[in-house]
Amino acid sequence: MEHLRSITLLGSDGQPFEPRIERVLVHLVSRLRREFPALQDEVTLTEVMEEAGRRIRAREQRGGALERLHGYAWVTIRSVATSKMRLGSTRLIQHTVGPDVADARLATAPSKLNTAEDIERRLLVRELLSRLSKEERLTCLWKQAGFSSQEIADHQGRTVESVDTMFSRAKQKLRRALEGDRNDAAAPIAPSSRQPSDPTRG
Amino acid sequence: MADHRSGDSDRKFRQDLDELLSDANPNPDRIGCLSQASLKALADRRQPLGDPGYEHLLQCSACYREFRRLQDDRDNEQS
Repeated sequence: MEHLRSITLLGSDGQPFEPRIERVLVHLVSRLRREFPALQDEVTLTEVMEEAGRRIRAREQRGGALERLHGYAWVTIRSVATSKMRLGSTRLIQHTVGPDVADARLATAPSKLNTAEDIERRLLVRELLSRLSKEERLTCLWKQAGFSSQEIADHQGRTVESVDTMFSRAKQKLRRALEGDRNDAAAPIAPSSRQPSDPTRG
Repeated sequence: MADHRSGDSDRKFRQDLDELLSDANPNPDRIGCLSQASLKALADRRQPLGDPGYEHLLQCSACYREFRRLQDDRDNEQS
């Protein structure tokens, strides 16, 4: 981490990232080390961070400054790191840890899955989604995928207006639910937002 | 101005939806998961709306995240 703090992360054009992006990336290095213990060498960590930085920069160039940069950055880093882990060279590193070390690590590693917080968060998230009908969820997903209201209407044998109404209704339901939970401070949903693509609005 | 606000509201909603679908359904055993090719076809909108793959995305956060990543990659390539 000290190493990454001392070097400048570069984009594909060889230029440093904007300071706010750089700051967030450097801040997340320790979390990356913690959650991806196989990625320990500085070169790999730097590669992951630079690739994540490039994706973030590309996203901001298309859609403007990200409102939740920290959350978006972590999701991006995690995605890049996961891809990295699938590479043969990294798999080799994963398999070269000695049995004693592996046993010790396994014995002390905290579970990253299904902690009480994870379970609580997922229950809340599922509860939020359950407030939408299946049709509303699918419509939202299709919109997220970039289909226009016209395409959805044609598929469902509806009018464009009724699709838009359904989408608005879903939006209102979810927003009310989210705001309610946020106001109650009872929904620790990590802001791991990914900026959606900009689907054609129909 | 109203259109601008509406656009912001849509974007915000899509972000919220992304957060929810990325997290809601861990599916650790990857039951019924889609192949990379199927996810790519969905991300590229080459599959019809009635494709059952879309329903799977509502039930599997891992596939949903990968689907969104492929969309990002496609957008990056196009930009």
